[in-house]
Amino acid sequence: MQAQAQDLRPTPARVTQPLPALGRTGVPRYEAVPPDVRTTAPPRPIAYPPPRVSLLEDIKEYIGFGRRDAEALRAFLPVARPHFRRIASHFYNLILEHPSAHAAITGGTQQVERLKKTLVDWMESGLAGPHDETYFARRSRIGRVHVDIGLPQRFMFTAMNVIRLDFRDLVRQHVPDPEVARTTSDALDRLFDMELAIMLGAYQQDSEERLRKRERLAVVGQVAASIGHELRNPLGVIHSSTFLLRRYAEDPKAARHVDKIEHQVERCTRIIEGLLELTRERPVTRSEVDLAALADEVAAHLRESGILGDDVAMTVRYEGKGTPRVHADPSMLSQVLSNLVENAVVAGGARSVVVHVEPVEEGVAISVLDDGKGFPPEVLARAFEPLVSSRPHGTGLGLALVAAIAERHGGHAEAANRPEGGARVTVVLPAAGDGG
Amino acid sequence: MAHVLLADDNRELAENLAEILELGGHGVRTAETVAAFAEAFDPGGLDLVVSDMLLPDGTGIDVVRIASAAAPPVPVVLWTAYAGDRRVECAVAAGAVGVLRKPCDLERLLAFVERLSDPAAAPVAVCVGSAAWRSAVASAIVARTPFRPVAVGDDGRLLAPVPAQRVRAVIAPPGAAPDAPWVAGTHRIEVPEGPGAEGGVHAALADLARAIPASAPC
Repeated sequence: MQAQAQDLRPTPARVTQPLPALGRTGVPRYEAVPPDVRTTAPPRPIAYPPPRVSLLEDIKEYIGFGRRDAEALRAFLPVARPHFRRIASHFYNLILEHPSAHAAITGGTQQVERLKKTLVDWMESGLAGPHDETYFARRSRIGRVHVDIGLPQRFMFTAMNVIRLDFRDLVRQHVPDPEVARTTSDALDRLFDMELAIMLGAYQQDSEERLRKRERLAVVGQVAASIGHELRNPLGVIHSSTFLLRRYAEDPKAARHVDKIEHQVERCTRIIEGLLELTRERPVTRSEVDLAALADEVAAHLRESGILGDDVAMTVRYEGKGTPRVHADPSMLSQVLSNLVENAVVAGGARSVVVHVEPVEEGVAISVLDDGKGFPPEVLARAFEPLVSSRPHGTGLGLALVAAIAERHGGHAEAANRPEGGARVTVVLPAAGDGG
Repeated sequence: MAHVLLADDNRELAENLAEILELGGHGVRTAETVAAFAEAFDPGGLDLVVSDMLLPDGTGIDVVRIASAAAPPVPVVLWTAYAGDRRVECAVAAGAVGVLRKPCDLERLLAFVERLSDPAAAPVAVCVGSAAWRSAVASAIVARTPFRPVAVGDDGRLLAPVPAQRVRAVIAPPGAAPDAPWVAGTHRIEVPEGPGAEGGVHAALADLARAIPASAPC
């Protein structure tokens, strides 16, 4: 079936109404449109990515942070300043009691001292103001750092609460006038709410970026798959025409070219198959796989298709008792072995290929070692990237697929040159029950 | 000499395939839509149908249903860019005997045409497992044995113009052999699903070929 040219712009296909304005709380606000206006009002354009609205004014408006609060905070600053270091120390002592916070702060006491100083500066600038776009940008960057070091979002609340309570104590102890105390407390509450909102904004932004990235990858995958499918029909015509040409062409020079065309068509088909397999995202269906039997089957296939010659030996080595077994998707594992052995023989020119299986901490490591010429350095650096190949007739997808399959099993793949010469590619698969 | 009806809306591809089959001494007609196929479909005069999956007014499933419901039923081989699709599963479940991939399974397609129209090739019934299973088994039979694969419908009906008493063997996943009168007296071969189906049936059929010469009179 010949398909129409596809509109590849990433418009969100399911949006049936324009993007709503962000309301005070940052949650989309759907304006009620009176019936007579609905049909005549022009739709708002759909933008991709969605426009970023300045959060600061929205936050201030919602929280109610205004000039009175800023003045109260500035007046409170000289009273509070002498206590900043103590509050910062208290804060980090509590924080470091949490194992994940502890894990995220890797630089020892030096780093903690730096962090305490930053916190003191944060308190200073929070009370001093001005609370303008520059302040917002700086606070957003701090939020970003928290996201990047992997601090869980919920920690923001507990952390802010430690500061909040310490400042409440400060007001109680050092602001005698009840009226001023109340104004100051209100101002501090609004300040800390605002800080929290800005920090959480960074987490939200990160989520949105990651979602957009995933969507982009999905679109690329769909496009690749679509191209792959559509190419098969024109390739079918070319291939069948070369079949006929071969019958009609009497000149041996023509026959040679017909051969070339046919080989290239087969290559195109292999590229398409590889691409489709990469983008297909087939779910992993695990079962107990006898690796020795699987390797035999792979070897038989490869010998039959002429890839594994009679002069190439392929053996399985196992460090353990009995037969090597692994809990994995058998057809995917078969593909992995097939790709790796084929690479060893065709790209590396190996005469001997060993499939080495050993239990490791994360599960099972399956390595394919060969005595060929190894990876050229520029290929090794990008070994698992799609469309990188040292083989003149390679598709450049073999190792990418191996890596994708390892990842789908919750494991990973490694490639290296062996010190004694030749290449080694290892796939580490987690033991049953890990990673789905 | 096979009489083939080809359903594909890719006109150039259909022309090429027709030319190739004619060079091989076969007779070919082509149809570009399900409707055209239905009109040209003459069960008594056809040995097999080759069909694409996606047609302008329907799919290969429609073609398979028409061919399987006829009297006598005509075997269908799918030749499609979309092997591995869900619809392919449906088409095989509906009775297609094999699934071949464009472009490079051309040689296999020709082998299927030759075999499915060879009156001397003893039929072997292939019951439905998954589409991949049936396709692998049928391909193995064509590639490595002298037998002719015949699809079996859900109701136990043979989906080819073959007299039931000629069937030499029934191949099915374990426990899936149909409960039909013609099954009695045939060799049962069980081939489990999963990787290695092709190897398993090859081994089983090698034994069968030794035990029953394919050209023995029935």
